[in-house]
Amino acid sequence: MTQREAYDRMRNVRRELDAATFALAHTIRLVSSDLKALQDAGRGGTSPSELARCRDSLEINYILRLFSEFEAAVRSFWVSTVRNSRPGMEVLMNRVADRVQMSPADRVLAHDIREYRNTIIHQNPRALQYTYGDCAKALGKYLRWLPQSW
Amino acid sequence: MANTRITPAMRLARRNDWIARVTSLVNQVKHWSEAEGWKVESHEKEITEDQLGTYRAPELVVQLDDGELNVVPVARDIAGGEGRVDLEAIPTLARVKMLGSDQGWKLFADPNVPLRIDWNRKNFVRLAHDLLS
Repeated sequence: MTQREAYDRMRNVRRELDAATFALAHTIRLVSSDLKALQDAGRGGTSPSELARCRDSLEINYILRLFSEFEAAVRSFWVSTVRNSRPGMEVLMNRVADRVQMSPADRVLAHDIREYRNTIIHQNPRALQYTYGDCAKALGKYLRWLPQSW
Repeated sequence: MANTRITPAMRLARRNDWIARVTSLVNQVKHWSEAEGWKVESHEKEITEDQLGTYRAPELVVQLDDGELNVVPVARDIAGGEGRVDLEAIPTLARVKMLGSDQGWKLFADPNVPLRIDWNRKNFVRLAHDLLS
């Protein structure tokens, strides 16, 4: 894998978020103004309130998608350059950070996002502690320390 | 009702006009970047759109001390504008969207907040630093 591929995958997540945001906003407008669209939604097993809930959770869900791409890149680096094992994410991030002599600031920032990811998974928060942009920036800065390819 | 069918000739003209606008933008950014002493790399990106088919458009990578700025054409046919090009920063993954309009390029921060600044060299340089900070 190359560092460029890792960044491209993370950039594509943002484009998917854009598309999903647009599609949901459009659908919600349509369903609220068109009885047939509302009936179609009902037949499809969804309701306006579920669409709104989906919209409200979208950014958080895409933060999870983003983190999974980040994790895939870091694990790929680990397996390719260190050993074929699967440590927990906290340990993995620390081992990789040690190996590439990462700045403490970038390491801490990425751990903050990892912990936020855990909070999302285990506590299902409705409010955003970090925006998608905050998460992308922190995880992107961590990846900068990896070599161009591995 | 008006006939909105797009003929192959119209499609080709739209596509060529879009590629020309992207090329002009990329050349402008390249010129401004080189004037700042930043290294630039030119690439091409393959894009597929329903109306325009598959084509290649120029993209640019600008190397700054803190990272790189990518000038990435996204698509000609987009909601709310006449084509979209993204300025994307690595490693921050920060982004500004540029939407084509009759008055030139309009800049939008996420989530779709217009940046009411002109597209010129001074603002480009400031934006490049902001995206990487």
